[in-house]
Formats: sequence, structure tokens, C-alpha cells
Amino acid sequence: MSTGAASTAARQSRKSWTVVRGAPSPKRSWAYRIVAIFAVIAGSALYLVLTIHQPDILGVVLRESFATPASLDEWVVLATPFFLTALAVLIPLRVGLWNIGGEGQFFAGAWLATGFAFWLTHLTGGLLIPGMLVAGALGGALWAAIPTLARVYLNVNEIISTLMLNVVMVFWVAYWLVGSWQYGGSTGGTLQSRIIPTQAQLPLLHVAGGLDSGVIIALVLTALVGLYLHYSTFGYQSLLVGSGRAVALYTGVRIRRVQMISMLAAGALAGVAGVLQLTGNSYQLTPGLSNNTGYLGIAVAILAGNSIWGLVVMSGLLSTIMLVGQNAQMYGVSSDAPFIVIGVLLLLNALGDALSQYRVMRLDRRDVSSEAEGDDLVEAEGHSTAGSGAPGLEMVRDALEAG
Amino acid sequence: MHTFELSFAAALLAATPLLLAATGELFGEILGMMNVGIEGLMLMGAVTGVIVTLHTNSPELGLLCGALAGAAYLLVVYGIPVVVFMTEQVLPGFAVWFIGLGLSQLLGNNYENTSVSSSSTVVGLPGIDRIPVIREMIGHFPWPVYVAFVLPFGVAWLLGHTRHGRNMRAIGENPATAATGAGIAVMRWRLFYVGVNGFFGGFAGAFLAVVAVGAWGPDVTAGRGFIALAVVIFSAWRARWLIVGAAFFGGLLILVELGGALAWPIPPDFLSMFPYLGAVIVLVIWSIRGRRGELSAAPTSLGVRVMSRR
Repeated sequence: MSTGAASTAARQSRKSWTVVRGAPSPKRSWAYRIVAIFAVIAGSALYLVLTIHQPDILGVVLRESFATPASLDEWVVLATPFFLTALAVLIPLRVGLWNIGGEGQFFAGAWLATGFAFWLTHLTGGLLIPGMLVAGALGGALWAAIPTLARVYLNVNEIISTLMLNVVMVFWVAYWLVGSWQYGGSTGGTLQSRIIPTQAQLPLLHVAGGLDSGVIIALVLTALVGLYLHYSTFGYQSLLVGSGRAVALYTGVRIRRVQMISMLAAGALAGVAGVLQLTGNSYQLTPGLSNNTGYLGIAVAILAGNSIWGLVVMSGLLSTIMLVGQNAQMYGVSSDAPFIVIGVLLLLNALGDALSQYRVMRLDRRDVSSEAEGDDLVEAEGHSTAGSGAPGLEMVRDALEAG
Repeated sequence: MHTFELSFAAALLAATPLLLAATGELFGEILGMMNVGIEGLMLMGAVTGVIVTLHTNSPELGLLCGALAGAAYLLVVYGIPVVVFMTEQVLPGFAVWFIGLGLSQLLGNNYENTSVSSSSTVVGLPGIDRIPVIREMIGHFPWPVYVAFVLPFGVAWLLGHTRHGRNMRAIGENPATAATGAGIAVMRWRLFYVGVNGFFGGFAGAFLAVVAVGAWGPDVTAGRGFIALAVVIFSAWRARWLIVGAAFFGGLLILVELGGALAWPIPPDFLSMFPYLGAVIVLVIWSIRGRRGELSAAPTSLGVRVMSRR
């Protein structure tokens, strides 16, 4: 008896708290994300208090951001492009591709739509805006097609190519703003286009706050894309492709086709975001038209974590950050301060995702030591589906491509 | 008068920050770590460099502090998440850019457009001082320019001819084998070279603001961080080719500035596009060569998540 009691006591003493690594858990990941968001909000609130010393001015900033009739309108206007530029990142991420090119596709869409409005002004008012939207989608998709073809057929890293093509497109737009499109003719000094004709401007929903009807188009598109991804065969196939090359090959999904469609759709949506910004509230093409929404869309999509509801909520969150930043700017807060907030948010989110693989558990020490032995020094995972298949499956792929 | 010689000198001066930042980025990418936020890193180096120079009146100390600030900044924002917590690399890269953009403006708010003197850094090359045309072209430069143009040769030697360099490449090509087969402490090596990357990125930014521009202004880098990224790809990850890439793109920057003065038939916007377009074209060319069975130019584990214990 006494020996038995001693051995149970020994076994209990061998139990200890240990960190165990397993599969990433979406639930824990969301928990970390929410903690990160609250931490960042608390941090920025503290920063605002420290920067704007007078409490009454702080009150003015917050009232301008949240409590005036116009503030709600501004908030929605700022959020509108985020829905679409975030979708432009989220859809390719489902198939394991990084679309960093939302910014370029945004401008490609806006550029082609501006051209459409200038060249086909005589089109009846009812047709001009739909035509511009189609032109914008086409422009965005075509600009996305270059890195997509290079990725799918030549295995060119799409992160770098889309990032580089963004800058190319901004210079392309700047080139068109010097010359016939220029505001005030070709002798004007500033880099902005002529105002687009009134029949090419979206009607305002709420004149006082400048709320345009673009948000309806953006939300309808977001809902359609969300439903399509959730219920269609394509949506399921894209999840299979994203789960890894082996899964997709085994289930017979045509990987290239799914990846192409996802990237082109992403480009088209970013292009539409550009058109909405153009026809909704800017009315002219400028190099600052996007206000970095193409890049900020990446942050929205990442924070949304592959969920359309998350995407809508996070668009609202980023729009809030940008709005408070804009209003605080008039009281001495640096205009780029919102970028710090969003950068920290991205960083904490990445950390949370990494930490979500770990669990603190109470384990027997023997299990712990065997676990540690099994966990080798280094292992590498692909960031995308490329090369993650088993060697035998390469043969299957070759056979599939041949047949 | 001396248009050619002066433009040549100006191009080398413009190429220097590109070359320094690209060399730093090459160190990171050789070990498989791609940092897309060089722009933010350079901005942090630039603002630190200017602030320290204004307070101490010593551009050397400013450059050093800018470089050290870059190393510390990249280690905290990029190195620890990517290497220690094993996150993927794109988001921390963007965080480096965003936070650098915002934080540099915040720190530099009170120092905006205050000019910095850096004449003490200018060094004359002893032999070349007496040769007429060459003297104007490469004779009188701040010392970091010479450092930047010699550095890639040292890096090429390090990577190609030393055991240390082979180990670096091994980590970038196949981290699992580097650790288990060669017994390299992958995590420590990668952290160290994130620091090196940050050091040169910060140095590049500090050089740009303190020496080349001579003042801090918001977004003083104006996209040079992205050109530096393009330079690394353009050089296809070969250290000596960084010089070619940086000199070429530095020359393009000067051509854009000269613009109408030369009355070139090509619009300046197209010249500005070229570094980025060139990088994409080079990527495609190397991929086509890769399909023909030649070795890929990029380190195999570039952008890949690596788990390591030590």
C-alpha cells in the first residue's frame, strides 16, 4: 500500500505545465486577435490623451469622429473601398496566393474608367456608370492577369511581382495626368485629371455628409462574393486548393484554373473599388486617389481571417482608425499616425496567429520529453501550395497535365 | 560644362542608399527572409540619423546611430516575430513599412526641413585627385559612397569563399538540412542577419537624409526602399550585380530629375517605372531559365516559414 501511494505521489509530482505545439487553432487565433484589437485601441487612446493635452480638444476630436451627423457618412465613405480591396486579398489567400497588388489594380480600374468616361461621354447617363464599372473591373483584372499568368505558368513569386506592378501603375496614371487629361488643360500645374462629366458621378444618398451610393454597390458585391464562396462548387474548390497541392490533386481540382479565376476576380474587385472612389467622391483621377486603400485592404483581409463577416467588421474598424486619425490631424497629431496603429495591429495579429498553435497544458514529464525529442530542430512549410505535395504526387500532376 | 561628369557623380550619390539597403536586404534574403518594408526601415534610419547629427554636430555619429536604430527596429518589428515566433513574412514586412512611415514622422516632427551639414564626411581619393575628368566623376565623395561600392565585393567573397558564407547559403536553401546535417543554430543565424539587414537599411536611410538630401522631411525616401527591393531581384541574388543594379537605377533617378533638361523623347514617368518593371522582367526570365533545368536564382526557402529551436 505504502509503495503504491508513494508511486502515485511521484507520478503527480512528475506532472508539470508545459507549452505544446499543435495545429493552428482558429478559435485561439480569434481570441488573440480580439485582445490585440483592444490593446491597440487602448494604446491609441492613451496616445491621443498624451498628444492632445487639453481634454476639451480631445472631446472635439472624438465628437467629430463619432457624434456629428456627417461623421457617420464619412465613416461609411472611408470604409467603402476597404470592402473591395480586402476581398481582393482574401479571395487569392484562399487559394494560397498573396495579392499585394490591390493598389495597382485599384488604379488600373480607375484609369480605364476615367478613360471610358472621357471618351464615351456621349453615352446616355444610364449607361455611363455601369460601363465605367465594367471598364474598371476589366482594367483591374487585366493588371492582375500579368502576375497571375507569371505565377501559374512560370512560378514567379507573386508577392514581389504584384508589389512592383503597383508602383508601375501609379507612374502610368501619373503619365496620363500630364497632357490631355490634365485639369485645366495641358498647361495646368497640378497632377490631377479633369472632373468627370456629371452623368458619370454617382448620386449622393445623403447630401449633407457627402455619402455616395457607392457603398451600396460595394456591400452588394461583398455579399454576392461571400455567398458565392460559401455555396458554390468554386468556393469549395478554392478551399481545397488552399489546403495544399496534394489535396487539390487528389480531389481532381484544376489548380491553375481556380488560382487564375481567384486572382482575376480579385483584380476586378480592386478595380471596381477604384471606380467607386472615382465616381463616388473624388470625381477626378489623381495619384492620391487610393489613399493607400489597396495596401490597407491587406490589413483588413488578414484581420478578417477568411470570414466575410469579419471583413465587414474589420473594414469598419480600419475606417474608424483612419477617421479619428484624420480628425486628430487638425490638432497636431501626425497624419501618418494611423499607420503606426495599423502596423502594430498587423504585427500583433501575426504574433497571435503564431501563438495560436501553442497550448499550455499540464502534462506528464515523460510525455513532454518524448515530445521534445520528436520535435526536430527545424522544419519548413511552404507559404503557398507550391511544392507542398508528396513526391509521388508530382507524377500524378504530370500525368494530369499531359492528359 | 561638366554636365556628364556632374551627372555621373550625382548618379553614384543617388545609387549609394539603394546599394546599401539592397546589400542589407541581400543578407536577409540569402537566409530566406524577405522584408518588403525596407522603405519603413530606411525612414527610421533617416530620422534617427538627422536627429543625432543635429544634436551632436557629428554626421559620423548620426550615420552610426541611424544604422544601429535600423538594426534594433528591424529586430523588434521583423526579426522577433519571423524568427522567434515563426510567423509568416509578408505581414511583419508590411508592419515594418507602416510603423516606420508613421513613427519616423512622429519622431521627426520638430526637425523638419532643418538642414544638416555633412561636409566633414567628404573624402578625396588620394591618387585620383590629379586626373582631370575622373576627378570630377569619382574623386570627391562622402566616405559611405566608397564603402557602399566596395561592400558588395566583400559580400561576394563572404558568400562564395568562406565556410561562414556557405553556412548562410545552406540556411537559405534548406534550413532543415542546415540544422540537422550541418548543426547550424538556424534561429541565431537568422536573427543575427536580420540585425545586419537592419543595420545597412538604417545606414542607407541615414545616408540619404544626412548626406544626400541634408535634411529630414516626411517620406524623404520617396519609394527608394522599394527600388532597393527591386535591385536585389534585378541582381538575381548575386552580390556583385547589386552594384550594376543600383548604379543603373540610381542613374534613372537622376535622369528623372534632369527630365526636360536633356529633352529626352521618353517621358520621365516611364523612366521612373523602369526599376519596378525591370525587376518583374528579371523574375520572369529567371523563372523561364529555371524551367529549363537551371538552378533557380532565388534562395529556395525565401519567404518560407521556418521552425527552429535554437
